[in-house]
Amino acid sequence: MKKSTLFLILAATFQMLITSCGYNDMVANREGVDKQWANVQSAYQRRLDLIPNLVSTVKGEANFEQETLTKVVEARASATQMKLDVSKATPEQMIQWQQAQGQLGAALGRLISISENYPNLQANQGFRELRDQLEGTENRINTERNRFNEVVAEYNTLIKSIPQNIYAGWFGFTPRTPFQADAAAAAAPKVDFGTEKK
Amino acid sequence: MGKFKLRLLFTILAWLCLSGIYSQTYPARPEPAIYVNDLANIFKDYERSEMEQMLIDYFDSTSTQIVVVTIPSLEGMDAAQYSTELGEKWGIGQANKDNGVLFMVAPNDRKMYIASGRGTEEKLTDVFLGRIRDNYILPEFKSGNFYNGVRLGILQMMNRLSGSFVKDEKSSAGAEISIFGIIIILLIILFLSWLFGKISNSVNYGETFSGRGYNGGGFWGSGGSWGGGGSSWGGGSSGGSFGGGSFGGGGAGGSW
Repeated sequence: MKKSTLFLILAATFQMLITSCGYNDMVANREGVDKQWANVQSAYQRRLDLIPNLVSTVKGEANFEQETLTKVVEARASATQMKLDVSKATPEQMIQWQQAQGQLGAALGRLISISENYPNLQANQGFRELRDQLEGTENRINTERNRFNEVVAEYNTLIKSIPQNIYAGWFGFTPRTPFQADAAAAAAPKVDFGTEKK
Repeated sequence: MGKFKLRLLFTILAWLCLSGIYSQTYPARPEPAIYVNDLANIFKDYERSEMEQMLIDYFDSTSTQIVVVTIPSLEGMDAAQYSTELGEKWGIGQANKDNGVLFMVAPNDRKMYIASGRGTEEKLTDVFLGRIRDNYILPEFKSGNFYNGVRLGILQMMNRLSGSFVKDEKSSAGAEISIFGIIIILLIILFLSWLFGKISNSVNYGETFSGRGYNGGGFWGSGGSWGGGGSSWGGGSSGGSFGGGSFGGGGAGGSW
């Protein structure tokens, strides 16, 4: 009995040492997730930073639909308020945070698509530049989110597979929540940032 | 028996942890680097080689890699996402500088996108790229002149980037080459000592000498040509390899 327990411990230790996905890999993977989360956040922050300029530019267009503008401002406010500690976030918190960002994305998408109806705005160099920045930022967000999901999937697989699943919890390696497909963004009209209308 | 199976399972799991899932929708990374990948065949031969040379020269003097990829169609993919992912997968630019740029043209979709590597974003901002798109690239594309559009866009980017990146004399590629070189020199010494050992052991001195000497010449010949390849990797006359630069999603694109 005692001998077999000892054997088991030895076997587990041995396994930890020889597999390529040992403790060090878990640490490295978790670092990767945290680093990628910082990239995700800076991409979202970039979008938040763009909005005041965008709003003031659009406000210059006298008869611009106020409701759309208000929605962007409100969505930005609620997205700014939302703080998330990704290392402790529950899946629900993660979804809430995503929803706030998703609503902002949808509101912005609507604003851009409506702006197509305003020739003055389309001719405005400042607005065109903001639109390019916004497009680049949306792409940055997508890129960083996809990479975040990739590293999270890798990390989650690592800590859930044998033998890591036995001892991952002892060292505080808990599964992380990836981004879900964006319900708000999926429902929003797909915005074509095409430049044919100038 | 049971233990063996368990071990096998562990091994398989470990492999699963390591192996990533590779998407098949992107063209394979050219090795050594090709700077004008005209998969859609929109450039004439001389245009292609002219631009290739321009971009190789630019890489040689700045270590910055500007790569043109034309594909017939995006097949429904987002131009920005496609370009960013392709740049990242190919690793355009140097790993420590992220100084790569990918200029994507999909003529059947009438879409283009310039993806700026993380290191170039500071100079090649979305706004700047949008401006050269509007002022230089799309007007040419609209009249069907792809080569001029791409070329003018690239020249504007080079102009903007001038001085940002300089050639790294002690690049990692150079270090690899020197290690490679040492190994080659050791091999040559080994070969020579073996050769001379043969010669001195040989009874018929003259015949062996001429026979081996000829082979030796052949070896030296191939060694010389290898050396040419080696120096080109180090940044001589050819364009090296893509260095592992990363793309964060910056850039600008449009349709015409």
